[in-house]
Amino acid sequence: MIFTICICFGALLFLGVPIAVILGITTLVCLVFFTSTPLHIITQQLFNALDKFVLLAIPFFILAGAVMTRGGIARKLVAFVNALVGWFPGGLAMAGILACIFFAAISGSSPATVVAIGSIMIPALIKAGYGEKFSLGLITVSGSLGIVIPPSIPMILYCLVMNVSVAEIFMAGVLPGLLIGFALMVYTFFTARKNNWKVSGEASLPELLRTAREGIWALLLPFIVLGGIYSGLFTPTEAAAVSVVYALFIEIYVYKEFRIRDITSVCREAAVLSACLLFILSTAMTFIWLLTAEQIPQQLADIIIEHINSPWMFLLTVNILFLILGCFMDDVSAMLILAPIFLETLNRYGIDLVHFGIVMVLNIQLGMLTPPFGLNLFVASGITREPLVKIAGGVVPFLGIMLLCLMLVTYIPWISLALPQWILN
Amino acid sequence: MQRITTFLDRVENTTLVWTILSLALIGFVQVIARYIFNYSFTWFEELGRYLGVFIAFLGASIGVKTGSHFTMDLIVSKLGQPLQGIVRALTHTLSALFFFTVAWYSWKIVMRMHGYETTSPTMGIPMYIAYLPIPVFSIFIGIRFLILGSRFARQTRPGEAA
Repeated sequence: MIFTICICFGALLFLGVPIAVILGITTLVCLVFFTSTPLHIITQQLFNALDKFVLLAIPFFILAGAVMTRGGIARKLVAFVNALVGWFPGGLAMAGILACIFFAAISGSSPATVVAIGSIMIPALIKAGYGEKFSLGLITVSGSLGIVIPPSIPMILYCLVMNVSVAEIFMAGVLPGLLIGFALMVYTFFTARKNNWKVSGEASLPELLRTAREGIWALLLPFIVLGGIYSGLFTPTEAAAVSVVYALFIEIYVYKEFRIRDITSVCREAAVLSACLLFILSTAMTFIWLLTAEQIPQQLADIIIEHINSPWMFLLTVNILFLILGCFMDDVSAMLILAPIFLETLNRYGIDLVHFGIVMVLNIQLGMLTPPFGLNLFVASGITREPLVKIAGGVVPFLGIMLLCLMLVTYIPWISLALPQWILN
Repeated sequence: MQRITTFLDRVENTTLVWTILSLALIGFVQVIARYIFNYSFTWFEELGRYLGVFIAFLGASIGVKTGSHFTMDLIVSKLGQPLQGIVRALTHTLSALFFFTVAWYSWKIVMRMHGYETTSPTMGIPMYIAYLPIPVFSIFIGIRFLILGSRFARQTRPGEAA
């Protein structure tokens, strides 16, 4: 049966069938040829996969991101961080990273972060003389923090397939996200000094206060969303609902960026995208249900444990596997399928599921920065109208930093687990 | 015909966006109601779960048309013309067949639930309604795959190639 699955999956993948449909067809084929289970079980499984309240957080966060990207929230945020750190050496670039960190803390998607911050920041950086290649690369890479710093769509998906608490994994993403942000800032600082990039403004308290006052509504959002979840005020799903309503309210009534009748056109694309994510989630979970019923994760765990003798080696293998798989399919789909297959192995090695989730998210982040499925590259190319190759070239110098951070987070579980343990105890 | 499809598209998009936004609004109101009036809607969670199914299948149907489903088509898009059209027509037909199969078995489940008259635990609505989006939109998705597939099949004919 494993052989049939691999053949069916591989062939359909290369023939260009959507991944969600491949998972469905593979499940159907296996049910027909290898089991005597009645076929209506597929409907039951598709329904059960979607019949979860947490899952609504995905469309909510994606819509909130779309609203904030189109409106004034991103712009006010950039103005504020620029007043805050713009006077540093390489200040405007620092401000770009910081703006991405801030935006990442209110949106759950990294393409949204690239669009929101990149469309303002990339032209500004190039104009200030930071070099085209560096500016394109920096913001495309910093934008990928969108999924590492909570809230995060891939983290919610991971929690749904692995039965992990969303609040816990959100907390676990904070330190790794700040670590990457810090590493990017250090790199920027030294690059700026080496190239003698001029300082783009001077420290001014009145300017800082003015931008803070104008941006206060945007700046409050991370505290409302994350504060609300951790104080127990509301669940992650409710936090997501609050952030859509809040963002719409601010954009329509405070910043007056668009009107009520524009809502459908602002949200349409994001709504379809979020539904497609839910759909692939449901077919992936149906596929996983079949594999689990056939004991395949257990068999796989037996094989893995026999050949790989330490959890560290296993994690390294997973990282390499994801880098390779990232060339054939997008990493979010790869995670949805592979993480549950490895569940049994993870349990036997005693690897913490929250820690593994963060490792998965960092792998997805890398996948978003590398062709052929690097969503961030496509998005950055879309907003700047620069060719994909140029943007990928700009990203290359940063990949070393990202790989280093991936290794640190993989091998020092403390980075991911310290904060949730400290908060939850 | 053109006018009808644009109208249907608009109805679909508006329904999808506003279903999500209305749920978010109810969620928002519920948080406020819980802390200010000490009152919570017990039916909200169930409504949200069932509408989640509706959102996923409605959106998946629109997604076929807009090409929003994640696909690895680097290899297929490199193929030369008659071959590429044939491959795409075949894969689209295969996908359509899958969705028609799902629709058929889901319809059987829905009919059976209708017969048993099972209702949901808190809202008390008939359970078959919660399942209904699966067969209905599976048919839509199947039809959309067939339409796209036939469009690719036409491209393979010389003279009409775009």
